[in-house]
Amino acid sequence: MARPRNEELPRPTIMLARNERISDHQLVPLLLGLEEQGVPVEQFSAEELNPLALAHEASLRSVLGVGIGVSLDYVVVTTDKLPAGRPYLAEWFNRSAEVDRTLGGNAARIVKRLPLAHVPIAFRDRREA
Amino acid sequence: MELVAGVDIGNATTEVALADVSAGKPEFLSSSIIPTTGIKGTSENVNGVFQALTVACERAGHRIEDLSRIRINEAAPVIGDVAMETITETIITESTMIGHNPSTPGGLGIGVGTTIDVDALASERGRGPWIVVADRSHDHDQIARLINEATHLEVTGAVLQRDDGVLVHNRLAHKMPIVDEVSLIEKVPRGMLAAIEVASPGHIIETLANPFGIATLFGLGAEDTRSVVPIARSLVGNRSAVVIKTPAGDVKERRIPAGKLIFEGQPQSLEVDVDRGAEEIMTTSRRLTDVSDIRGEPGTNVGGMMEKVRVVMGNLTNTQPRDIRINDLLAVDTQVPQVVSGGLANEFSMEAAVGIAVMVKADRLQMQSIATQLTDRIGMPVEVGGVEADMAIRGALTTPGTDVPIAILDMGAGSTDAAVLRTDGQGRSIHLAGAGNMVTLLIQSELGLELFDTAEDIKRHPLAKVESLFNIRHEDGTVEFFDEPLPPSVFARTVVLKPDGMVPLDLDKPVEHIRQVRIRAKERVFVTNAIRALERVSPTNNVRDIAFVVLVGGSAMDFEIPQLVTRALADHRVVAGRANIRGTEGPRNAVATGLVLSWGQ
Repeated sequence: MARPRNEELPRPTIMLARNERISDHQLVPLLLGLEEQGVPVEQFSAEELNPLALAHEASLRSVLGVGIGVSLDYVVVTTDKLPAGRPYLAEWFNRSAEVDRTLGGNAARIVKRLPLAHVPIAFRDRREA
Repeated sequence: MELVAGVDIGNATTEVALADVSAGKPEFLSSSIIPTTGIKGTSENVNGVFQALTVACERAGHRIEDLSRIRINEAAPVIGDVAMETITETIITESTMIGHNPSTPGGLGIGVGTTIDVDALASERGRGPWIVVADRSHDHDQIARLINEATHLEVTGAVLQRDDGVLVHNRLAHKMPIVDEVSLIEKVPRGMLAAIEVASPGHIIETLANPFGIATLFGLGAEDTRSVVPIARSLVGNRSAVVIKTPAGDVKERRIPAGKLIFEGQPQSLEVDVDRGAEEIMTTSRRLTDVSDIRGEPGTNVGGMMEKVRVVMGNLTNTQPRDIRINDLLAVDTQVPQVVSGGLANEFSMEAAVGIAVMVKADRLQMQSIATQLTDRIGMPVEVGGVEADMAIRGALTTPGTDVPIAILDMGAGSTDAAVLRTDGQGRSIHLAGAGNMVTLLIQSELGLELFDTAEDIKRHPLAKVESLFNIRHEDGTVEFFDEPLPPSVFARTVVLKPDGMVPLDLDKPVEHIRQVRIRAKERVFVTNAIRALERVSPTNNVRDIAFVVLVGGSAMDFEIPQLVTRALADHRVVAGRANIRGTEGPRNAVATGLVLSWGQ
C-alpha cells in the first residue's frame, strides 16, 4: 500500500519550463493535453531562450523525469535520460491548438508508458512545407 | 573438370547448386539463391536464372562459360489463392447502446436520466434527472459552464463527441460519469431514458454488463429483461458504456447465409453449407477420394468468392475462368473484428468467419521454352530435369540422418506439397491448398489489420514491446538494451523485429495476444496440412507409416513453423524436422541439389 505522503518529498509531476515571454494564454492547449491524460504538471519561468535547454532543465527538476520546454516558436519534450541537445519530441509552438494539445498529451503518455498519439498530419505538412 | 548446375525456379526464389561431376560422383562446389524474376514458369525467369548461375560460378571460382550442362526443374504447375467470408454480423437497432473504451473517460460510477441536448439545459423546466449530450461544436469550457449553470436541474451524466471527458469533469461543480469520443453523437436519440456507467481505472463496468443491472436501473419486467441480454453481453469487458431505452431497440447477432460449397468428385458429388463452419467443410472434403472441381453456390457470398478465385487464377494462367478446376480447399474457422452496424462509437465485435484457401492445377508451365531461351543466351545445353517432387526427395535425402521411407513437406506460399519415397523406390506426391499466404490472411483478419504486408511482417518475425527509451522486452520475456534512444514512433508500442529494424504496430493489444494469433494461424494451416498431406502420400493412409519427414521450402525457414510441425508430428511418432540439404544448406536448395544428383541417370 502507498505510504502516507511525506511533505518533504516533491510531488510526482511533469515539469514545464517556459521562457518568461510566453503568456499563460499561449500555454492553454498544451496544458489541456496534459490534463485530459490526468498527469499533474508544475511550471517555472526563466530568462533562457533556448527551448532545448529549458526542456532539459525541466526534465532534471521533474520527479517523473519528463520535462517540457517552451520558448519562441518551439515546444520541446524530453526526459532526464537524454542529453540537452537530443530532445525526444519537438514541434512548432502555437501554430495549431491541435498540435499543442497532442504534444501535451504525448508528454503525459511518456509518463504513462502509452503509445504516443500521432501529431495531426495536416499541421505537420504545413510545417514541413 | 565437368561442371553441372541444377536450377530450381520457385515462386519466390531461384536456386542453383553447382557440382563437379568429372569423378563420376558429383562433388558440390557452391550454391546461390536469387529472387525469382517474373512469375514462375514465364520467360521473365531467364534473367534470374542467369544471375543465380553467375553468382554460383563466381563463388566456386569459375565463369559461366565453364559450365558443361544446366538442368532446370519441371515445376509443379500449382498455384493457390485465399479468401475470407464472415458468417455472422452484429446489428444495433435504434441506437440503443454505446459500448466502447475511450482512453480517458471522465468521472466514475453510474448515472440514469433522460437524454437532453446541452443547449436545451437552460430553457428546460423539468427537474430531471438528465443525461447531457454534447456534440463537437461545444468545447469543454462551454459544456462545463452550461451544466454548472443549470442548477435548477439534476444532471447525472454526459455523453460527449470530443475527447475531453476528463477536462469537462475537472470543471464540474457536481461530479458525474462522462463517456467521450462518441463519433456518431447525432444519432443518440434525445428525450429517451438512458444509463451511463464509467468504471474506475483497471476495472470493467458491472451494472450495464449485467441484465439484472439494466433491469434495476430501468425498472424492467421479466419479459423486457430477457430482451436486454444481448445488450448486456455485448458490453462485457468495457470500461465505459451507455445504454438507451428505446421502444424497439435491440442488439442482434445475425447469421449471414453464406451459401453452399459443392465438391465434385468420386465416389459422388457433395454439398456443404459454409456457415456450418470449417470442420464440417473439411469433413465433407475428406469423404471424397478424388476431387475434380469445387464450386460455390451461384448468387451467394461463397459463390462470388469462388468466382473471384477463378478469375485471378485464369489471369495468372491465361485460361478462361470457367476452365479453371479447383482441386483442393482448406477451410479454417476464424474470428474477424467487424464494425458493429448501427453502433455510435465505431464499436467492433468479433464475428465468426471462414477462411478458405484453394489450389488450382494449371497447364504445364513453360519450362521447355525457358530452357530453350537459356540455351540461346549462354550457348550450352539446358535440359528440363525430372519431376520437382522427385528431385526434392533426392535433395532432401542428403540431409544427415535420413533414410527411406522418407517424406518431404514443401511448405511454400501458395500450396503445401508432399512427396514420399518408399523403400522399394516407388514414390507419390500431392499438392494441397493452404500455405504461407493463408497464414498471413488469418493473421490479417483476426487482428483487423489494414495491410497484408503488416500481417506478413507479423508472420515472419518475432515481437517485442518497447518498454522505455532504451530497452525492449522480447516476446519470450528477455530484455534488450540499446545505446541510442529508440524513436518516439515506437515508444511503448508492440513492434515487429525485422532484420533491418523494428516496425511499430498500430495495435492496442498485448504482445502475448498477437503472438497467440500468429502461432494459432500457423498451426491451423501448417500442422493441419502436414497431417493431411502425409495421410495422403502414406502407403497406408496413416501418418505413422512414414519414418522420416523432412521440411523444405520457404516456410521451413520460418523461425517457428518447423518446431510447430515437429512437435505435432512427434505425437504420431514421426521423426520430423527442418532439412539440412548436403549438411550445409538448411531447408534450401533441395530441388537444385536433386537435379545435379540425378544427372546421368
